[in-house]
Amino acid sequence: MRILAVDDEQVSRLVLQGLVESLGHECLIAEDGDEAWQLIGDTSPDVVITDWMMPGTDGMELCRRIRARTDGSYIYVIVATSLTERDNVLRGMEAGADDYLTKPLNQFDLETRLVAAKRVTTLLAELARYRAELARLARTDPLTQLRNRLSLGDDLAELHARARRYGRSYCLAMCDVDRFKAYNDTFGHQAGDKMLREVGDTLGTAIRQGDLLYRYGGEDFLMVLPEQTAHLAARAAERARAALESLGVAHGGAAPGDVVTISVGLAAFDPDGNMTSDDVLRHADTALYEAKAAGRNRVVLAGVQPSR
Amino acid sequence: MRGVRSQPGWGELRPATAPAPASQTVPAEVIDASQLEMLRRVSPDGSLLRKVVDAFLVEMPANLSALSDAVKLGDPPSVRQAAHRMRGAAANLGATAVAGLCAQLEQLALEGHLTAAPAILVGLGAELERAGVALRGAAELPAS
Repeated sequence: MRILAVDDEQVSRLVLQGLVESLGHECLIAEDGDEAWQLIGDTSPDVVITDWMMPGTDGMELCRRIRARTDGSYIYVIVATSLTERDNVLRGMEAGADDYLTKPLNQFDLETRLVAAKRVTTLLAELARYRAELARLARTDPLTQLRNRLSLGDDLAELHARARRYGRSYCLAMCDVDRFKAYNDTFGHQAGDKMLREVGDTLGTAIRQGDLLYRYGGEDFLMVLPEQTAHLAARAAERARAALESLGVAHGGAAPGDVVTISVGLAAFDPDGNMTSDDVLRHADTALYEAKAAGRNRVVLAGVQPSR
Repeated sequence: MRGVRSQPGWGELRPATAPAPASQTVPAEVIDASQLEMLRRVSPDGSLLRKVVDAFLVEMPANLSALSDAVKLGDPPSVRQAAHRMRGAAANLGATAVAGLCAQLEQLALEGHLTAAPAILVGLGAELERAGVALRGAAELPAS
């Protein structure tokens, strides 16, 4: 493990360094809490062993700062103090330390502490990996591997807040597969799933870098187009619609030669107005219904943007 | 088998702890050897012990004079800080008498009463001298 030893007194530092290295670990040294904090940022140690009483940033403050970190992996903290300072041990543990050592330090006590440190840091690193993977899965649609609705909620709130603050526009394009139910009825649900994946792939390829595609619901996809005027977004939506049509996935529905298509309802956020992101979504949805009513396989722009 | 009772007891291993007729100001041991033994075990060529003792001999006079200045100035927080540093260093090398006197000074400083400090400081200077001599000898000895 990489271990950071913090002590303002040289004899203690040398002894601690000697013991740590004799146990086969890498030892970094800091002469006070501020230097330790700097080294933690630069080197991400697995374990910090810190003296309690130091001028400037002391052991307790260092514990607090380490625990207040929000990034990086868990750092196991051991406070080194003398037997006459037992009160400090409890305060240190409450401030975020995992264990303590009494001075003068000896190899056996250190070794046993480091066995626990190794176990705990390994476990927590595993947990962090699982958590990251779960967080990714929770935001991914398992069928299409696109971002899902949960992800949309967060991303859209962030995009909307940014657009409002800086007076920028963005567009939402609600895409719905035409006559999806008929397709399912003809080919079965498994074929329906396969088709949804193809639609997702095709739309994902058609959008520009920086645009985002979500699976919104059953056969609904949502394109989020940041920093785009309605005019540009309409061209992007039309490109996506045409790409799917030209893919020529047989629909086998009403007419022979029928292929899978989408209808798209497009809406723009007007930074001069007082719209919420739900308003934009609703406008896009209304435009989608208009596209369906007008005969499907087309892009309809909601009449909400100022015509310039 | 011989039982535990046949082993020498504590009293036989250590110098007699009964009040000695000799001067009471001289403790039986200057250095608690167990810390030094540990340092030799960790680094059998004696290099760690030499390095640590060297650091001790270099930094202690400066620490003592800082401590002495703080006592003269009647500055309890500085006394506490300096005594604490010295105690840590001394304890790491088993200089228990030095560490004990530093602990007394720390406690006085914590309570804000430094009247007894100058007397302890005199004893500390003497103990430091003895510890220094003993440690210098120990560090130069080959590992036993």
